[in-house]
Amino acid sequence: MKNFLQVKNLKFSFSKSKDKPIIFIPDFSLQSGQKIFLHGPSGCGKSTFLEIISGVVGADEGEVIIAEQDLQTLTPTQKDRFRSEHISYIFQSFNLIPYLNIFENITLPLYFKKSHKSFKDVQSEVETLCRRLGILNLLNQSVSQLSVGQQQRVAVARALISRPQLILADEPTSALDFDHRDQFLKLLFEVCSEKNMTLIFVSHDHSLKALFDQAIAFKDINRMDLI
Amino acid sequence: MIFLKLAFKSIRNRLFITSLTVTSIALSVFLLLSVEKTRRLARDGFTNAISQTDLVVGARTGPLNLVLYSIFNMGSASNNVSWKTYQEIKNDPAVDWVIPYSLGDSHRGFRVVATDENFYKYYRFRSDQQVEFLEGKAAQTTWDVVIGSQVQKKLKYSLSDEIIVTHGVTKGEGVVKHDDKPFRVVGILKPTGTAIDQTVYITLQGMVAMHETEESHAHHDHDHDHEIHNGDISAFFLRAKARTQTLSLQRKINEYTQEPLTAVIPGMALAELWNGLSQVETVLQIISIMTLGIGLVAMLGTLLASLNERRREMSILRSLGAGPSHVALLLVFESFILTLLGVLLGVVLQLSLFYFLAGWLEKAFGFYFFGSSLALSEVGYLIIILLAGAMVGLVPAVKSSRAALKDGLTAKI
Repeated sequence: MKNFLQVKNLKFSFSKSKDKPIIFIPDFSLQSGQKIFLHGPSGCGKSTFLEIISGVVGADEGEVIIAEQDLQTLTPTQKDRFRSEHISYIFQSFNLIPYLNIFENITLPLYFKKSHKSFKDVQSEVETLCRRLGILNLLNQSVSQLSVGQQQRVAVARALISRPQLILADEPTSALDFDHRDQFLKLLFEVCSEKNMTLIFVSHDHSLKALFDQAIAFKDINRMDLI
Repeated sequence: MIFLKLAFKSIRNRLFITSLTVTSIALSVFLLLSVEKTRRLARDGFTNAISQTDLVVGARTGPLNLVLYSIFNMGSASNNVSWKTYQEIKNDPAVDWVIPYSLGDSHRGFRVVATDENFYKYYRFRSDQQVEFLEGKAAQTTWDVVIGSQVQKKLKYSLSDEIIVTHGVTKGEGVVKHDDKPFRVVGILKPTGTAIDQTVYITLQGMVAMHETEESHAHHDHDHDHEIHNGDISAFFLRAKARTQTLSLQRKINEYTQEPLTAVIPGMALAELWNGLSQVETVLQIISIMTLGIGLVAMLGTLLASLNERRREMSILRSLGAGPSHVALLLVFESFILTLLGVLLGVVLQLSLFYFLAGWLEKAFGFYFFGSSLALSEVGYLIIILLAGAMVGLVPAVKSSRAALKDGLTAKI
């Protein structure tokens, strides 16, 4: 089976110190539908790694291939487009836009995609997704009226509306209490499994490890010792 | 269009800070337009001190001197135009009308001008404004006198008051008082914002009569020369039947053989005079440019501050798939909207304020408003402001495109 994500000889350094890379990943790959848990101490480069995968940050050397597309060969604009077509990001804070209502927040990613769907299609898709997430009755409300639990569902709905193949979650649960964290993960896993989405989940919280297909310490793939 | 929606909702969301920004832009625009308008009015008010007159004619002298003493009541005529010559030119078939102007006397520091009914009928300033009466009527008989608004204001005359005219132009007591010839005020003029306000008008007969009786009193010992003899006049304004005849009339008068005369086209002479005074305009222009500069800096400052607050929002949009160009477009669009609102508000503010205050400014300062409300140069300034306002959106856009995606999305310790 072909790998969905393939990283080879990736080198990255902050522009000022080209000679001192902070990331060197000789070989890392994921298959479609895999859910992995990536952990490591703060500042070890996990978030930067996610940004390279999503194409926001360019690598110095090496190749990043997602869905048979080599990111390094794309222009910044093409990368942005590729990201909006294939990848969704979920952050620690839900980062909903406060002055848009729930429906507008959820559909926001669609406006940056190349192919616009008709309003009717979008409407029915949002409704299906929100019924599934139990937030159908909230669509016309403003963000400030929602509870934390409702906000996280909206964030998940927003991450899923563009039908991404890869979800990058950067410490999405660190601001949540125990109950909300469990609900959130359950929801995320269910939807990922349904749509066969690949998930990279970055966290400090080792208690979550067991829930994933695979747990990887970042230092095991980031082989700085080999340089 | 998602950008319209995002921009408007975001502006509405931060109503307080955005309205402050718009207000500061509006005030800058208001200030700039006011200074520019003052500059324009100073120039136009000067060069439009007389209009619809094709030629000003006087005895041979420099054009500036002629214009100064005939239009601005400054300096004095070096020589007179004989009554015969005046009549001859007046009856030239190419001439439509003439307004005689005879100077030389004063009343308590104000100039006395002898003229005829044509002055009230034809004299025009600021394109089509004419002399109007606040009270009373034009001077018709020998001892009638009409006073300008400033004369009335300062000397507190009312209709039927008797006044004494002095020979020679001095403040206070004149060289010779024509004591026995009291004139009677028959008319008071409305303010015009020109030299007319500071002038006392009598008839030509009045001036002649005044000096004739003076002669008969045998004051032979006074040695100053009379400017007025046998109804000679100092100057006259002339309107040609067709504007195309102006130049040939001018040449004809300048080459008049019986006596040396000078004819000038007032518009040209006034423009030339204004250019001589161009320092005034330069100062106002410098003030305009400084206002524009300070306004722009203040405006860019507030716009930048309000846009900087939105880094987090921009990062969210980036994470949802928006490219740097999307973000730039949004920010530029937003700052353009704010600038546009500010500029419109500033223009409305300026126009309405000047509209409401025009009457008061006219009365209190003799500051007159006329001409177009927005000059081309002002529209140019407004376009510069709009462009600068839109471009400032690029600064945070470039910043946010360089920043890492996570920047602004996670709480920083």
